[in-house]
Amino acid sequence: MTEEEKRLSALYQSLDKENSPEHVDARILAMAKQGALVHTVPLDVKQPSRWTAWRWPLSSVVSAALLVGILFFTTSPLLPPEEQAVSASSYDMVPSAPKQARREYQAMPEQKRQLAQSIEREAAAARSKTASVLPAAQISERLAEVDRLVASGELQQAGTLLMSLVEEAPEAKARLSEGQLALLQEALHRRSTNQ
Amino acid sequence: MSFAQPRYDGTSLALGQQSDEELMLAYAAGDLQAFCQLYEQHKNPLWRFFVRRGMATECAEELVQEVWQRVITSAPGYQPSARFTTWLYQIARNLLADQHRKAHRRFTLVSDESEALESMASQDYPDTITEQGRLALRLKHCLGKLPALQLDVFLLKEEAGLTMEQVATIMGAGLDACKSRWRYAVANLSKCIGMGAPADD
Repeated sequence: MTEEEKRLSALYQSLDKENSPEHVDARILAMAKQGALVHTVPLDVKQPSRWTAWRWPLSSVVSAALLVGILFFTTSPLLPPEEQAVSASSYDMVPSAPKQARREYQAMPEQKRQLAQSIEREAAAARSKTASVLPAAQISERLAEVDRLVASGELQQAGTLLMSLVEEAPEAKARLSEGQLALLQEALHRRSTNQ
Repeated sequence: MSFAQPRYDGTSLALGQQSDEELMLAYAAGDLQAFCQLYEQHKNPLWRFFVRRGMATECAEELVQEVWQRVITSAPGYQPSARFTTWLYQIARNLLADQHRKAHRRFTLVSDESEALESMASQDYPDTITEQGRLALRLKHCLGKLPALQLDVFLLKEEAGLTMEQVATIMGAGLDACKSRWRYAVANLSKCIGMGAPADD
């Protein structure tokens, strides 16, 4: 700011200060009061309709239900569990079978394929039946019982026990000693002659 | 030019500590006291902004009311993107321009008034008043003779206390143009009251 500007500014500030007339102030403050009342009144607040109020919860529930439905129908099995297991095993069999066998299998008519599946099921059931139901510890226990009967001279009883053990657990045959094998043969012979 | 954007939280500051922008937001929220304080701060400088242009009192009253009415009606949508003072004087100046258009008045150039300005310097005043008082009286008369654009710049700076950047914003003109008008206004007023040489715009 130059000297001239400073002097002029000081001179201007020293002028009498005219003030806004009181009646103008009163009018403006009255307008402001009215304005303040208007500002505090909420603008056209409408009561929301029942649909508007429930719109979001309803649409959320419907969406969730749809999602659960889609997930249920896309992930749950259409066949009962036992049939599904068979179907899965037969399905698994197809790609792992040799090419020619697979082609034959795929070329089978539906009835034949069902028959093959049922045969496969029966064979699986028979396999599971013939499979050992006795654990190794129990086999050892039974064999020890056989030895105890032999030692006490009850040979016939020992043979019967051995025979029933081999029937229940065919793999026990591999664990028999020569004496036990002879005892088993004798018991089998005895049964065949009795029959 | 950027300003921090205050948000009215309704309670935080006492009215005396609040900025103009915060007061305006408070009024927009329905606080009449905030408006009263805002009005108290700006009513007299705004009044003088009108009357020192040589405007008739009735006309100045009308314009002042119109300015504040616009402030009141704009309050609900008020956004403090600029200083309140800048906004207030922008309204005032727009109303002045409308007034001039209605009255088919033209802003006069300083060269048209040079004779009148010079005649003011030689005007006689009673011997009873001091030299300072004589200069003040002359200044009042000279303000009325100053070209409108120079007078606007002078009043916005001296009366409203705005910076030259804010004046430029209100005038919708470049900063250099406003500085130039300010220099011409000072030179012309100095010459008019007998303090220096006249200048042309």
